[in-house]
Amino acid sequence: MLEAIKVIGKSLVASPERVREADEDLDVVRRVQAGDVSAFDRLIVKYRGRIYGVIYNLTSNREDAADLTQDTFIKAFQSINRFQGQASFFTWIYRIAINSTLTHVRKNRSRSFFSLESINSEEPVSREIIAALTDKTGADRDTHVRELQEKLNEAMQKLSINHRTVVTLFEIDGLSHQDIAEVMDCSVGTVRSRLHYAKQLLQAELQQYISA
Amino acid sequence: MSNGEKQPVTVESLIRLKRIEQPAPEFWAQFNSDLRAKQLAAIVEKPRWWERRSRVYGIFSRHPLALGTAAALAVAVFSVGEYRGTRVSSPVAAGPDEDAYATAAAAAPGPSEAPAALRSSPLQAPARSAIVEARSVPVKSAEESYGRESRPTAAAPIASAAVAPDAARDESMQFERSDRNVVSLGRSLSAMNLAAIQAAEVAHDQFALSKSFESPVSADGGSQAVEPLARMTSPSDERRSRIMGDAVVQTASFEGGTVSPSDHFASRLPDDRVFDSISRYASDSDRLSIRF
Repeated sequence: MLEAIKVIGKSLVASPERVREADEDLDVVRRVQAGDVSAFDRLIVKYRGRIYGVIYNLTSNREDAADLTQDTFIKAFQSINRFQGQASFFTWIYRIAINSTLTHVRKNRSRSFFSLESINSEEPVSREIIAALTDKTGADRDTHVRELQEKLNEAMQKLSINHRTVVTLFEIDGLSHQDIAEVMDCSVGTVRSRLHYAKQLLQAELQQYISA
Repeated sequence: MSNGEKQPVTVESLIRLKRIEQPAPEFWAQFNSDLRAKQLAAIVEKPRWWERRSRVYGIFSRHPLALGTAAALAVAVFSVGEYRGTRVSSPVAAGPDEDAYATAAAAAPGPSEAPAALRSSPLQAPARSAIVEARSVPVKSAEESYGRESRPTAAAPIASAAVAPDAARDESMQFERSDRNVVSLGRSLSAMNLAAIQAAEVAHDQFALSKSFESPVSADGGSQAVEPLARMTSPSDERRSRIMGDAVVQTASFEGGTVSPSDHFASRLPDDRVFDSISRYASDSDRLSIRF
């Protein structure tokens, strides 16, 4: 199970793939800048899931995540002529998404409530983790998974927005420290420090689910 | 795991559980339609002022060196131009008597401005005569006007002082009606300017004579023009004379014994200065205060 997770994580940060991906994105961006507006749809389809996932894990609200994801693509489309290719399109649009989300979270700090996606317990990854957590089956297991999901999101929301962002980008989205530093416009050391501190807090919050 | 052994649950594995919190496939259809609507709305929507401002800042941030250099050059060119203009336009600081030049020059440029300036000018008669004369002969050359006005005769200002403001206004209207030619207007304005300056100089000399202003006389007996700067008194001299004036007068009265302080004072100082010096003293019941 853990091997599978590691494979997923590594595939996201593989350097040659990222380089090829960045080149492809740049070609599409050049086409959009030249007037082929429909080419932007390819970028939307390619990145909407990841952008939505990041924003959802930062806000823990699916409606806000959908709105912010749409706003991210609209801002990117409006500013596409300012994109000069100095960073990859991936980094650029992630930065737009993170900044929009940070603004939204800070503006609505007092008004936050969960609106969670359902966990597909038949996914291989989730099945392994859930099996490790409980011996229950059927409805009891779904209830247990739902409870775990809420606890997890509560623990995430107790982190500061910067720590939450680092954890989301590293542990959930699988970005490297360097990529996170570029997206968040900070140093790699800051990223590592925030990640370490955030894990300590999460460990304290989720102590009952963690094996000794 | 397959043997029934449980893998240890870590924080990382719990967090990665959130990876599978994914929306259903039908969510993306709704997402696409909403995004399309928002895109169209964004095209129609007018950009807000801060967005336009951020675009301007974006241009500046993209070419900071070129724009900064252009701005520095523009400031430098403007500063040099201002500096040269200041040097050419202010050769001498205008003193109290030099206001006549400025007044006459201000009265000269426009026909419509002339009557008001004539009424308010302290040099009414000479300046008015010069201007009216210049208007009545608009095509007169500047040299001719200058040569005629350069003779400081007493008859000319006195005769022209009899011209009433109404007459000046009539002549001004005649001038506006008859002289439509641009060339002749330019010539007449130039002649007017020169005549006004000459009239101011004549008036200045007359004021100097009336105030018994003694111009320095050279050794051979001929009159010598005094430079305007030489006629000006420095602020420190004025201040010293104002503060020490009473003391000097009183000392002289004690030493000489023949000159009355009040007569001497009144003959030397104008009325406003006398009032000024008087108002500096205040006496209460048992004290005398002097205000500097």
